[in-house]
Amino acid sequence: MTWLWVALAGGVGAVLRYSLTLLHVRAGKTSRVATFVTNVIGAFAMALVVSIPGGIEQHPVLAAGLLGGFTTFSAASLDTAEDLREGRLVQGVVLPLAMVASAVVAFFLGLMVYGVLDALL
Amino acid sequence: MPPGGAALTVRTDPGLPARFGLVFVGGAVGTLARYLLSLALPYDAAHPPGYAVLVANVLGSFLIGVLAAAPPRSDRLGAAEWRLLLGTGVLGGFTTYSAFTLDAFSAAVGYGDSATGWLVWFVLGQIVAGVAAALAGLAVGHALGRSRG
Repeated sequence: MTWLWVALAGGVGAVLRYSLTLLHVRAGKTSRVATFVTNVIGAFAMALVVSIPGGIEQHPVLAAGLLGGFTTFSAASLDTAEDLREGRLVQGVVLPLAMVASAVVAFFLGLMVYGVLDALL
Repeated sequence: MPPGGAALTVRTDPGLPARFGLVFVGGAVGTLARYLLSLALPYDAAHPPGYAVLVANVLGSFLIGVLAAAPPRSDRLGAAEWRLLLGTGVLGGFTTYSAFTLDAFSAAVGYGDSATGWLVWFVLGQIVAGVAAALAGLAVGHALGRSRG
């Protein structure tokens, strides 16, 4: 029955992502900013899941389900494809590279935060 | 927006609970599809990269391009609802950035037994392949849109 919980967690993750997008759009930000923020938060959270005993193999509902459903790759690809088609070449190159670099930094921060919490608690 | 279009949009625009429902159902279906794919191509942190994630991300990027250029038409669901169900929901859930970050981090710090240089190309290649797939999807979608008039 793991598959069912993974699927339901994915639905929850997608609703959280959509909520974050609505909040960004309401605040006057573009959906590009929302996708960026979502994926960076998801990278940070993934580091926490990787760090807990059992890691992602033992926690598919959190890793593949909740965080997999929360983060997205397709929206980022489409945004950059449209940037390139419409001649926004700098944004088309810089945005995806900034996203992956920020995700890596957020993941590293997540590992450190887990390490600190683990030592303190 | 043509005259009268705004009123039409307001009338067919789904309410917040309906929109959350569409995103939830789509996200669950897309996530399940990626999970089943990952059972066929399991991720091993000691031996990156993740091929299931690569397949899901590139395929999902192609399909979102098709969807953006040729949204489905039906009487029951409007264009905004289809985009929430299939785009934000199914394809957003099918593709993932958190698992992709595992490989990006491994490439950055040289973790795992795969050659780090090769992992860097795998990660950058996945971004390029995703954008190329979305461009191809847009082209296919525009062609579909022209053929159905």
